Amino acid sequence: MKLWQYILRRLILLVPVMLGITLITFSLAWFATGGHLENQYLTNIDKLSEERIQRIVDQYGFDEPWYVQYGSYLKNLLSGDWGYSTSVNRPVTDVLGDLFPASIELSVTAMIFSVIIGIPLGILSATHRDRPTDHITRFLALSGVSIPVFWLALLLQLYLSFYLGKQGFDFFPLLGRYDPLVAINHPSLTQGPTGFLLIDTLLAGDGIAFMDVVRHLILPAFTLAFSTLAIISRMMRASMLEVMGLDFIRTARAKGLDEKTVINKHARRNALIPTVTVIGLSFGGLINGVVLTETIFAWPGLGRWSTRAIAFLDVAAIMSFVVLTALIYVLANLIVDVLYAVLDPRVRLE
Amino acid sequence: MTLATPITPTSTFYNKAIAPRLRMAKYAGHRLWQSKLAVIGLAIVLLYLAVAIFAPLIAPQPARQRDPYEMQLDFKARKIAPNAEHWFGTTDTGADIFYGVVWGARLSMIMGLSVTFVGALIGVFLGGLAGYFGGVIDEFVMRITDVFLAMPLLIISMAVAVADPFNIAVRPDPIWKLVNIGVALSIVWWPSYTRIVRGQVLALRENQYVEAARSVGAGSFRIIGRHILPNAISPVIVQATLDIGTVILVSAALSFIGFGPSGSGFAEWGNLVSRGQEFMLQAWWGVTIPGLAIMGFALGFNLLGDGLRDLLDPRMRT
Repeated sequence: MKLWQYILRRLILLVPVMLGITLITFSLAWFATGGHLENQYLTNIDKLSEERIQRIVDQYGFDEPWYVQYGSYLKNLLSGDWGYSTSVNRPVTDVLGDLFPASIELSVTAMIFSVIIGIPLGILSATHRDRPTDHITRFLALSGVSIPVFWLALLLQLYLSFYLGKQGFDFFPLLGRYDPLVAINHPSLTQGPTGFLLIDTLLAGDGIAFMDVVRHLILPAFTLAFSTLAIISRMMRASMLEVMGLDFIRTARAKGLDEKTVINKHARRNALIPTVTVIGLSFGGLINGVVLTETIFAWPGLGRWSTRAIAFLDVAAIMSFVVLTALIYVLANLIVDVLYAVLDPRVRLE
Repeated sequence: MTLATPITPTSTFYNKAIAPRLRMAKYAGHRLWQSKLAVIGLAIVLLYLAVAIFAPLIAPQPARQRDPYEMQLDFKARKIAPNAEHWFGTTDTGADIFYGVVWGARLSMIMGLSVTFVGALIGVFLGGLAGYFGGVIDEFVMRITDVFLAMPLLIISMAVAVADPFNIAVRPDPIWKLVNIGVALSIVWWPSYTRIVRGQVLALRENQYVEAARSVGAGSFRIIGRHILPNAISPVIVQATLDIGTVILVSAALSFIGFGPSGSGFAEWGNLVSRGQEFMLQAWWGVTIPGLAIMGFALGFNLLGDGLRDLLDPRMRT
């Protein structure tokens, strides 16, 4: 099977999965509103007369049987009408568009952190097997999967931002995406064209604003990266050890290559392949982490919006968030599978 | 891990007098003992289990306190740093954090075990059906499984907890908020088990002993229950051990972001961390200590689970 055929097939297979997900979000919204889906759009039910509510119900078909309503829900989703977020009083799609860049900037930075730290750690661990470096790395990896993300975020805030700041090292801010005082004189922070602040400030050539963004980004990105980093280094260690035991490594050593070349040119490249799949799988953990990290660091992204939506019982917002994250998650997995096939010619596409 | 002792006719494991399953169990115990990390994990798990069971002895419930989990507040003893009287310090409402951590261990143990048990039970049942019968049943079950696996765990359990399909969280007692979290997690926790068990059953059902059982007239459910599942169960045990820790991470997170019992002092770890956040900049212990309890719990089960995996599934050994 050709690569494009494989991608097409996988995309088609996504359709029933996404249908299933929307069916779940629809029924959850149904439960959350007690079978009265109109409630998710009415912000002040007490002030509306019985008559007006009835008119709204009639107009938008909220008294139809559930399958008819599910059909119109699907139709609305596809046509870009994702409902109305009552917690911020705006259409969901508007909010998504506004908050998406903040979340993406945070997650991509976290992913880069976890790859550039995790992979060398895994290699180091494998090449120093059973020595102190290995033990420390393995312990880090284990704590990475055992640490509560929200607790790590709070610890970083408390110790690296607050206590270090008290000691005079005032580098890491406690919250937010940029310093509002800096933003007064640096419009690139608030009026940039892309919404990705790193890019916006660079485009404006504004060094001070850029540094401000970097300082705000480090702690949340590290929080988010930590568990992924742990999983990646663990996988890298395992696959490195496996590769190092293979014949071609022995051959490389036998022909007199120095250890550095053997590891960098022969072992690492092959060991990277299985690690790629883990990066894809850890994407789910990353999305979970975004919710907690953004909430604690007051990061103006989708995650914080979703937890606030919970407090306000903003059903349309929560269900849209589920649909969106599921879509991102399945697409990320698809991309990783394709990447895997491209990297490893032995993988046959089925 | 050091190499296992070879089985020789003189070693204790090659003792025909013991029943084979018991011999296997003794051998497994011996191997587990040889993995240092797994032993540490087991020790941590046993410690938490002991704390959970003996909570009333370790941190006796004050006489005036009505509910064991709704902590007594003492406004004369607010934000006290850890000392001889309050080992882990007190909160900004004067609740004793040591008391909260101890009773929280009981709640967490109940939460971890019951969610994992229900999830595994549903997963094993569905996976067994799908793997054994194949065909339409298999397709149907596995497509539903795919849908659930396509959603990040915290997100979907958040959505289920909001929907609260059984109207649990609206009940007055704050403990029902935790029950709601537990139910939401159980509803989303089965798919990984379904996958594992289905794969195992597909591999096992072609075995001769299954055919033998069928040829002497055993029914489908007897074959699944007596002959296939017992042989398919070890990866489930490994996954369940690892999951008990993960359940606590997710349930504490859900409690932290607002699904848990509200109020000024409830003996549940996520709630304690959330309370601690309120006065974090004045008192390091309020956040740090309950979080350590969560991490230790998850670490213990992760270490034990990793050890069990090495033991029960040699192919996965790294």
